[in-house]
Amino acid sequence: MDWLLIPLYLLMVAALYGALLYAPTESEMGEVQRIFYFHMGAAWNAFLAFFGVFLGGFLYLFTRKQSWDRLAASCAEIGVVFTTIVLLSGSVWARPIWNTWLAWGDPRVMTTMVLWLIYVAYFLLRSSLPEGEMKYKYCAVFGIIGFLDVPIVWVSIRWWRTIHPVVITSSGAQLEPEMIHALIVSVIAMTVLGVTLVMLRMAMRLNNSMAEELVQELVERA
Amino acid sequence: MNFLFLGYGVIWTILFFYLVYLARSQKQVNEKLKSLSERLQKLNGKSTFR
Amino acid sequence: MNAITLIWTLVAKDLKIEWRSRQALLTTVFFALLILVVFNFAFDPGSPATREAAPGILWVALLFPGIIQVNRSFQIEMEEGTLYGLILSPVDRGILFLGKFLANWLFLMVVDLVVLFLFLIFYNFSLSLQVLWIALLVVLSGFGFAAVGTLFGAMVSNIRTREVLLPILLFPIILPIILPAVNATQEVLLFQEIQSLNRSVGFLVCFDVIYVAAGFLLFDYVVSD
Repeated sequence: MDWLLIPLYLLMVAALYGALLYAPTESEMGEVQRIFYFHMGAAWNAFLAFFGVFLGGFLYLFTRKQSWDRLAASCAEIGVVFTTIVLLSGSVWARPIWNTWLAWGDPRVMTTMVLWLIYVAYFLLRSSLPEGEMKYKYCAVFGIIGFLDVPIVWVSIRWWRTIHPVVITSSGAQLEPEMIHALIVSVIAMTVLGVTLVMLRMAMRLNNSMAEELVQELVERA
Repeated sequence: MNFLFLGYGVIWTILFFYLVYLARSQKQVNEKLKSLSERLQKLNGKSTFR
Repeated sequence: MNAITLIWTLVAKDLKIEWRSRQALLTTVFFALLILVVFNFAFDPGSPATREAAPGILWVALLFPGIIQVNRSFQIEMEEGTLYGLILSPVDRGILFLGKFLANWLFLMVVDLVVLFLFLIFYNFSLSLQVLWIALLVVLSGFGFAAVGTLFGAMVSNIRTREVLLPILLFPIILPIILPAVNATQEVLLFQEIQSLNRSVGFLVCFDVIYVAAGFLLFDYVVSD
């Protein structure tokens, strides 16, 4: 996993350069729009991580191998971090543009909020359960249900909230080609960051469980 | 303009705190492993862990 | 015993238990009534703003008794230890789920329809035939709610913090029902139009199908120890 670190660093620097210097300033929104590049990267990863939670849970139920649960839990952790970033950076972006911190009524905003709630619920469930198969099973079930829910939430908000006049168009004006470049680099950089963090976290969990096993052995011996 | 700084600041602060949390978790696990290997040493006379 | 008979037996068992001590039914209905009263105190019932908010109030008042019921249905099993009896029997876990879920749903329907009736009276809505549409919404959304609720209720029955954890798990999942339900209720009560209900009803039906299927498939994992 260390081999990822150098590309990650380079990508992040490139992404920062792209977002802050290379991309032209947006005509309508001004400099604030530059938040968008990392906001999008984080959003994409938040949902990708959620897919990871679903996949990990589903495969755990199928194979009962603990490594899948580690994937699910690690993805959930990274997912909640990225979702928090999306919500907060989105709010900061929204304030000067739409004059409100939270745009209730926009399907993306509300879906992301529900995603955040599901992530947090996932962790609260995890922490209420003692280690063991029951925990992994229950979290997998919740992860699957949650994953099914997100598109339903999206549709529900799209059909019944966007009627209200707080309609927000995507990124305003057309994207200049340089902006698209900066965006792609940002998204890739954030994805690599996300993947690195997930792998790191999985390794840590593996270490943790190995340590727990050693404790058990010691307790049995003594 | 200030909002831009705030926005980036928020993103990086969150990432930073998460990395701090990870580093701290890592340290905890390492300390646990170290104390475990010390205990094993006492029991066995030799340690099988680094 | 074929599947239908099995399910019917399970449902009948649960409903009989509830009926014997009508206490549960009465207290749940009373709780829902209290919520309506609290809202009456919290919002000025005379103002037009409250009247617009009334559909939302109805659905919030329907939500909380639902959570309580779903929680309780497994609590009884836990206390009496009967859950193990059910699991050890050679019944397919999916059938168990359907039995439990349908019993919960039927119980909820009784409570919900009483709440609906009280709501209409408290908020001074006419008891026209249009109200049957709202009853339909209640029935449909209760179906999906009971499905997810039963699945999660079984999950948290082992956990100490179940009273607070169940809503935390359940609310985010059923949020998408609230929008079409409230919207459609608004249409019926305030605007007296029912053409636009198609979408809401269709959406609720899809939601129900998805989550009953999910519950049916996943119940096994939640209940086998």
